[in-house]
Amino acid sequence: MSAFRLLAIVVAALVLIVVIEMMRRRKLREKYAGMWLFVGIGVVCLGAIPGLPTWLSNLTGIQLAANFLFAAAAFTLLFVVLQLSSEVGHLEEEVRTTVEEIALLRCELEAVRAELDKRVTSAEEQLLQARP
Amino acid sequence: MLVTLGRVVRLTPVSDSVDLRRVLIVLPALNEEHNIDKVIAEVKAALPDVGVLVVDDGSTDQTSLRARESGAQVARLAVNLGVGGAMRTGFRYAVRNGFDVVVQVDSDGQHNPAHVPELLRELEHADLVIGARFAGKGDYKARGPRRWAMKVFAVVLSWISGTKLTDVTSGFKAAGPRAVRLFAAHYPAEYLGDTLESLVMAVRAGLKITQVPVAMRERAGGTPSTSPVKSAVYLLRATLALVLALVRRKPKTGSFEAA
Repeated sequence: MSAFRLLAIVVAALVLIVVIEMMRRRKLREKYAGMWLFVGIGVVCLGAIPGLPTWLSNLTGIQLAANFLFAAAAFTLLFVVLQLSSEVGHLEEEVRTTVEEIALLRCELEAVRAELDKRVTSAEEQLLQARP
Repeated sequence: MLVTLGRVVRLTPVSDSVDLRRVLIVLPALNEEHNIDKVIAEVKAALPDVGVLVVDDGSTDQTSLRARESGAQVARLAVNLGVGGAMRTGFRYAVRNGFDVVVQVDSDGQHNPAHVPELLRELEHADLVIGARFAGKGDYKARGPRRWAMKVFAVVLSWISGTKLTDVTSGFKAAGPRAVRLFAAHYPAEYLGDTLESLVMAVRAGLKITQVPVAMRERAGGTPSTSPVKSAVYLLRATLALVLALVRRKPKTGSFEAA
């Protein structure tokens, strides 16, 4: 087995272990973990099965197995970044809604507090007047 | 639709007939501690019965305190969300507290609250009324790319709305009941979302837009940016915002009631 293949398998196995460990410690939610598990298993397969990259590149008509790997990696990363952008957008919208809600609640709280103060004061006055 | 409108704007075309207690003036404010009290005083002098809500868009100065001292309701956003976020807060406040009409007025003093009745009068025929700066009144002028951009946007929006609009980036707008409900659920927070995209959204939802010429005053504080680079960036971003607004799908209605 060539040193390169050994390196590939070790790196891929490391990715897998890190992903699984992060999932286990609840540092990675399953929707992202699924994606990274898929990537990790893919890299392990490409590293461990000797003929696989060449076979895949022949299948897609790319002459060099290395070019096939680069292209596949680029597309995978593109997809990942796109997904993260969309998630950030969702998060922004959620933060926005939350901030707006808090502002409205605080506004309502102030109004309620002012009304309460007014009623307490008037109740106290009535009590004082009722007393001889 | 006429039934809902009739509740707010009775059918005589004078501003006295508008039930001002159902009108909410929303003042989005960012670091306006020196102007906000004057603007609120002006609004209250011109329109004694209206509700006044200042949406403090994450100011770092005393804006909220000054506004509260001046007798306005204050909703303070914990982080800066831009005019879009501030206005949706205003629309949601209106829906929850039974206001039918929302009028957006800038808190830097460039909009004269005395024009609000003119906007309200037009709400009888439309769902959204824009106080337009270039429609013959006043001497507001923009120069260079910014001006061309504003003209192009005005033409595009006039075309899709089927009404002549000359100033689509104005922040002086009155929204009737149907527009208030739409905007409470969906008000864009993105760049220029509070102007271009909100208008496109209103047209898509079948709302009627119209405009009233108003004179603008000098901003009480700060000067508008005029460097060529900034103008060019504005042009590009605004064009992108408009194109995005035009190709985006119509938002699903009725989700706000669930929220």
